[in-house]
Amino acid sequence: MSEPLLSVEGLRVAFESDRGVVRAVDGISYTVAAGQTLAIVGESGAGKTVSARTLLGLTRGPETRTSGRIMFGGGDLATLGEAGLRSLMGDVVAMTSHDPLSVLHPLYRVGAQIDEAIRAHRRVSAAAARDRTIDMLELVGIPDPHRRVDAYPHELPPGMRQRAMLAVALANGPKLLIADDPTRGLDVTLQAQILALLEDLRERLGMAIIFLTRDLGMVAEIADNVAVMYAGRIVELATTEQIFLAPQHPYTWGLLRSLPRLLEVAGERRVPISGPPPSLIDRPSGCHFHPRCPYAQDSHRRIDPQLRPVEGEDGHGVACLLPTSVRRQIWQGLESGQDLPSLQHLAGSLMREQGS
Amino acid sequence: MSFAYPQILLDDEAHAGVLEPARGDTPGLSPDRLLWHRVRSSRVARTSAGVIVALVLIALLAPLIVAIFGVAGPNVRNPSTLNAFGLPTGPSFGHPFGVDDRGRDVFARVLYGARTPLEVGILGTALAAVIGTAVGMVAGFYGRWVETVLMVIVDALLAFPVVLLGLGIGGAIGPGLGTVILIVALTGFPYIARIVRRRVSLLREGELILAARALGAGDRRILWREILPSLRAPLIAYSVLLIPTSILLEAALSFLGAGIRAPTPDWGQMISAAGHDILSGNSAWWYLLFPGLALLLTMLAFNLAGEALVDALGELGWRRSET
Amino acid sequence: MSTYIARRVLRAIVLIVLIIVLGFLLFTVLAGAGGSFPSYLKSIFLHFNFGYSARDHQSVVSLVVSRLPATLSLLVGAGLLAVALGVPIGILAALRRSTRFDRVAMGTALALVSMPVFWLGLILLYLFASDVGKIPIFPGGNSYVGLTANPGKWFTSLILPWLVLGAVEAAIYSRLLRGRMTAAMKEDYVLGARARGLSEERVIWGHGAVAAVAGMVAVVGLDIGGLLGGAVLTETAFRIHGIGFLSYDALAHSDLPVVQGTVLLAAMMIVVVSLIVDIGFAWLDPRVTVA
Repeated sequence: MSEPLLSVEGLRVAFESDRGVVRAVDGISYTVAAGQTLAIVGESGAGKTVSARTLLGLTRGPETRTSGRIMFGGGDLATLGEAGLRSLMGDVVAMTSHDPLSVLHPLYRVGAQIDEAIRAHRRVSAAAARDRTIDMLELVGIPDPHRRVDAYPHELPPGMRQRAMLAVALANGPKLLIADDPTRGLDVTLQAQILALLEDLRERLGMAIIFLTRDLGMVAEIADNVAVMYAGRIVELATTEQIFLAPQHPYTWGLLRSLPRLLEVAGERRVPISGPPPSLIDRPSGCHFHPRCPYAQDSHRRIDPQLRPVEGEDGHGVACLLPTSVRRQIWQGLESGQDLPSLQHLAGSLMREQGS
Repeated sequence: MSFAYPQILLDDEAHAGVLEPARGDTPGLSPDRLLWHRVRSSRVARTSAGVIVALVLIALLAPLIVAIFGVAGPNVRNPSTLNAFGLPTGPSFGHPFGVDDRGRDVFARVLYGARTPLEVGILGTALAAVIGTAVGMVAGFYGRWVETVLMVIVDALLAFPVVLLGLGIGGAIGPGLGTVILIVALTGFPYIARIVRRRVSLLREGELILAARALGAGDRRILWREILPSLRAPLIAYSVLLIPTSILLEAALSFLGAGIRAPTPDWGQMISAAGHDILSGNSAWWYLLFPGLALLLTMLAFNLAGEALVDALGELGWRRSET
Repeated sequence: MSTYIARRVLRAIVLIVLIIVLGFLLFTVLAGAGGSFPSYLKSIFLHFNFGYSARDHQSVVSLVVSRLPATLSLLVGAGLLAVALGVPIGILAALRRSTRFDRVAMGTALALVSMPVFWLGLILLYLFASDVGKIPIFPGGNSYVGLTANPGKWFTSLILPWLVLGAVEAAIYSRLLRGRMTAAMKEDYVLGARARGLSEERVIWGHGAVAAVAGMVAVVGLDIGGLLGGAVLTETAFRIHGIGFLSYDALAHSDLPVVQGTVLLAAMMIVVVSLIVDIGFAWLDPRVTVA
């Protein structure tokens, strides 16, 4: 296997706050190969955004403590100085947000913001920058780019704003795009359009994408690999196929089962994950997911699971204390529509068998 | 705008939010109690409240303090304190702040002078808050043409230059305490009305009101029982913010001759008299300096108290949380 | 944009009519003075007549017009000084929150906004006026001359008034901007600008400060009347013969038509200036035209 484009190793990010240290990202590792898409999935507060912003040094500050390595292009971004990061940001690595209206400056025209991004990294004439700006608007599928270039962000219709924000991010043809929940808050049609656009741009520009989302449903269409984050950690790391066909972590099951299905099976309902997300200051003991896990055993309150390879599945890792055989049986049970109490009972008896 | 209403009162959009617990708060408190807890834990609030209490005591106990210091009353003219040329004499043992051009003790006048600013600051502001709340609630609650008409009138009042309008009204109905209170109320209420209207029109669409409506509550009941209580905490804060402006307006009007007239001791009017003397070459700095310092101290105390309250309301900078 | 301008112009016209009506209510009805509303309206709308001075029978309009240059000289100079001082200080205080610079700047600003301008003006006159001051370096009270009469004397006579009014206004601007800038630097568009690899100077001034200043303009534009109030008091302290001193002097001589006519004319001028600020602001922040 060739050298990955990005390799994150043991990344930790903590913020000091009035009430204590917030460990937003708690030791995560993953790689992204050139031209591939990694989806990072998790609810809000899981650390997706913080971990992604840390890649670009955007979380640096007096209250932030960061450790770990962020290997990119032969260097460690975590130790790179401000100037070095600035020359990468918006050029080789770009980022978009979930809310184009807040990330685009309200007082500048869309074209001016693309122009500014280009000229921050390239010495080009005003005319050349303008041409490239219009090309970018065309590339992201904005109709009538000669006119839209002079529009303010709020003047564009919502779907167009997403595209304009992408145009700003892609202005310098990045090798890696961090797309922070670009489909959040959009209706289904627009979501599909944005996903198709991202997929198309990835192929045309040959860039890699880190796709952050709360919605596992977005992942199937776009991602090669999936990292499921919970409480600042990756609890499951797998190929997209593995995540949908043989998910291993109870939290992943919860995410999958809370999705709306295309074909509703009679009697099957969407099951949300119960309980509130954990505090990042006073973390739960043992497995961080145990307070919300229907299959948690007593010992899971004490033992903290590490991300380990799943036997027999290449490139699949999970941080769960349940044995692989037990997890497979529970997932089969879930798929065949068994109810939760009987599955919890099954988990308990299987664990006792294994223990004895 | 050296004669400015606190900017925060102008920005009605910024204050449409509601008081919500933030990190560091005791959980489970009602908004009013939350505000109170935060204010009490603020050192700035405690210090300024202490100064304000001291000012009120000074105003109330002025006769007693004057007697203790053994100086003459505020309106006692004592020609023997003027020097050989008939000019006022400066601070001395018998007259800590000196005497003015008529031989009156400046210390006594500064103490007694605390009365009008406090009366105007509290009564005038309270009146402005009551009128502003009523207008804002009716406008925000009934909406449509009622709102349009009321808010256009409010905007027209806001267009009047406060100090000049005060001069005009003072001229029309004659100077005096009542006039000043009226001017303060008339010029202050539009600010409160705007903020209240904004909040109420948001509340109107909210679940609380819809639920009350579903239970068959009438307009009056909703206004009194549902909306008014939810306005209490911000109203207190904004009213306190209005006090220093009211006090400054009182001093300005008295300085310009449209407010408190002699012989009632008043800081603005004392500064005006001292100004006449200074401009005509008299170097009696003491009766310019001390009333101004008293006014400055009062303004600082109320400004800081207002700031502490707005901080406690927590609407500055708490908008978007990190995901 | 054009519908926005039309709406604003219409609003300004409604406000001017209301100001005239309110003027009648406040100065005639409230005061219990006799007067006929139709003839009041007629003289204002048909003849642009706001009454005559009881002292010398000059028309109030001509009095105000003759005094306006002095007031404008004071306001424009103080305003420029206030922006030049207040904007950078407010922004730097926001960027250096809780440092010594921030504490000193904001402490001074709080003291200045708590200070009556007329008192500050008189103190400076006592210290520095060339006729009555202890250290006579600046022209004293009553020394204002028109710009066209003697530009040099015009400038020197306004130095102290500009300093006083400008400093107090700078204090207000800097306090306001510090809050706005602190909020702006937490906005996503600032993060977005950083993520584009822009220089930190560009991020701070081109993205953060631009938004903060736009927000300040919107708020300051609402309070032009307050600005004029400061000018009235400064004029009175320094005996500058502008419209503020005109009203003060008229009131002192019970010349009520001048006082009341000046109020109405000033209010109408404020509406017109607000209209210009509104339209200018829409150019700065086109989002307002959508609402």
